[in-house]
Amino acid sequence: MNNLLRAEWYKLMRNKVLWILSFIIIGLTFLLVLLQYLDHQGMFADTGVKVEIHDEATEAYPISGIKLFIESIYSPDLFLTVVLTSVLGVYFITGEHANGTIKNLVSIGYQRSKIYFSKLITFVSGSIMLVLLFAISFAIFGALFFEIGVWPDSDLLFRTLQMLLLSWLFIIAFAAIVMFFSVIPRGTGVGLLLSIGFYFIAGAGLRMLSYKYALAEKIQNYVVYYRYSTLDVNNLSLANVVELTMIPLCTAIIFIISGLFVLQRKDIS
Amino acid sequence: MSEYVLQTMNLSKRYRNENVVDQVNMKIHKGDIYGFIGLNGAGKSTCIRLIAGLTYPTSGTIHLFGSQDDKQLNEARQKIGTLIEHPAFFPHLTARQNLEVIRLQRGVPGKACIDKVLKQVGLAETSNKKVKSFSLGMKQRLGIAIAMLCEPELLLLDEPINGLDPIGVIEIRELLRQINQDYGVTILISSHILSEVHQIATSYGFIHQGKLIEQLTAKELDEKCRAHLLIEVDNTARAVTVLESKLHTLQYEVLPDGKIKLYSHLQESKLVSKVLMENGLQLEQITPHRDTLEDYFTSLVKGESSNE
Repeated sequence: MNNLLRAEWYKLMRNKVLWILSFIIIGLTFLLVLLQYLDHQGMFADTGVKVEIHDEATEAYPISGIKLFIESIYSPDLFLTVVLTSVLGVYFITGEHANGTIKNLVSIGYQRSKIYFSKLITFVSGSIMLVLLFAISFAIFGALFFEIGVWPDSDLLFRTLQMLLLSWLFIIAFAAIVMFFSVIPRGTGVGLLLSIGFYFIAGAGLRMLSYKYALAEKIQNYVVYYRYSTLDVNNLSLANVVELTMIPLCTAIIFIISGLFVLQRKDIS
Repeated sequence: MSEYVLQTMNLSKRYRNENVVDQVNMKIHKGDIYGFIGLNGAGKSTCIRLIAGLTYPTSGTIHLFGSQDDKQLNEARQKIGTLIEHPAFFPHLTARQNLEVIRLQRGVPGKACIDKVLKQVGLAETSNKKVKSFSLGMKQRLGIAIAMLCEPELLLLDEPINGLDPIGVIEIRELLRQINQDYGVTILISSHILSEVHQIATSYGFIHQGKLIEQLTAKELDEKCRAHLLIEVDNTARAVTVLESKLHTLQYEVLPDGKIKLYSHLQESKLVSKVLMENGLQLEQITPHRDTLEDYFTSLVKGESSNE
């Protein structure tokens, strides 16, 4: 397993898609912080446009690198997270089925479950790195355009950590979903279509249905996409914490078992 | 069991309603270069994919290095190197980086093995070029390098000389012969370029429509392909009687098309034709002949097809 993890990490670090996504994230955060800076300078005063990532938890703090860092953790963007994990996952995992390199791996004699977990662990690490890169880029550009800022009180720090850990759990669930849809097809295009298509059905589609049907609303409460977009750690009870932990965990387990089932039976070509 | 590096027992693979591999009993001894010969779609690649664990058999068993169960079989697969159907790499990585991935996956210590194998396949100079810019022949060489990286005890090579230029074919042939002789690596090589296989194989397996129709050693094949006089007459039955009564020989074989292969009197074709004609036979043809692997394979496949 250790050999597999080392090999997967080596491949991930040389994966072009990972670096392209990283540059896109850095560029995007630069633009967002620049817009905030220009707004701060009164550039948009006449237009009435307000550029701000706003969260109640950090309202009291002046705009700074640290404030932007915390706010980006507090306001995770569902669509961006889903797209990032899908694109990375499909090119990292389905790509191996498309170019045939999975043959080299399977014929060595490793159990397919070990191959699956080594890829999943590496893919989850890559996805978390990408999402973290958002927060880190906000911190760096925030510090450059404004100031570094001061660390918030321990209560806010604790909640930030809580939020970070919970969002990682959801990223594991997203990665498990993408991994499942990545081992089915042999082409990256189909893999991407399945992963993002599933999000549109179980995420956006279900949300639209929930406005009309009570059952859809009930189901939606147990869907990772919806729970991630409404993630809020302020005033959490123990029951809330358990629920917010169990939903992504159960989702991840269901999709990991399904993905393993598919890979175990798949003819590798 | 242990005398064989690879043994399959009634190995079968069924896709939908078709037996792609049908009750194959293959036996490969340690140190053999096993030429696996069959027409396109005969089941060669599926057999190799079954051995490599890329697909599961519908029935039958595979014993690699004496393995007795699936766990041992998987462990035994760590001793094999494969090149199946077409070489597979990460096109955006260099040849060296592709080999590094395989080295890490297999847990081979040190990077010296990469330089060694690159030199062996003649890619040392281009090792830092991205694979996407490689020619077909270079990709084939890299595929062989990947298969050889872990110093395997068994190499499974499916059409390894596809796309190689004539010099490349000779180099790879010599390389395979060298690793077989110097390191005792057993090699299973499938190819439809029979003349190439004939130059290095020490044993053969002929597969047709999923069935392994014959297995024999190179010596046995040479025996079967031995020199003979090919005789064509107007009356085969009478010719056979004449050969037995007048030339006192039983070393002949009657082919399905009525031609006779005479394995004796090779230097006496004039005498044979004289005897046949003196006994009222009209001689259409009498020529010295030696079967090639192609001839043997063709007659084997035709015989198999006519039996169905």
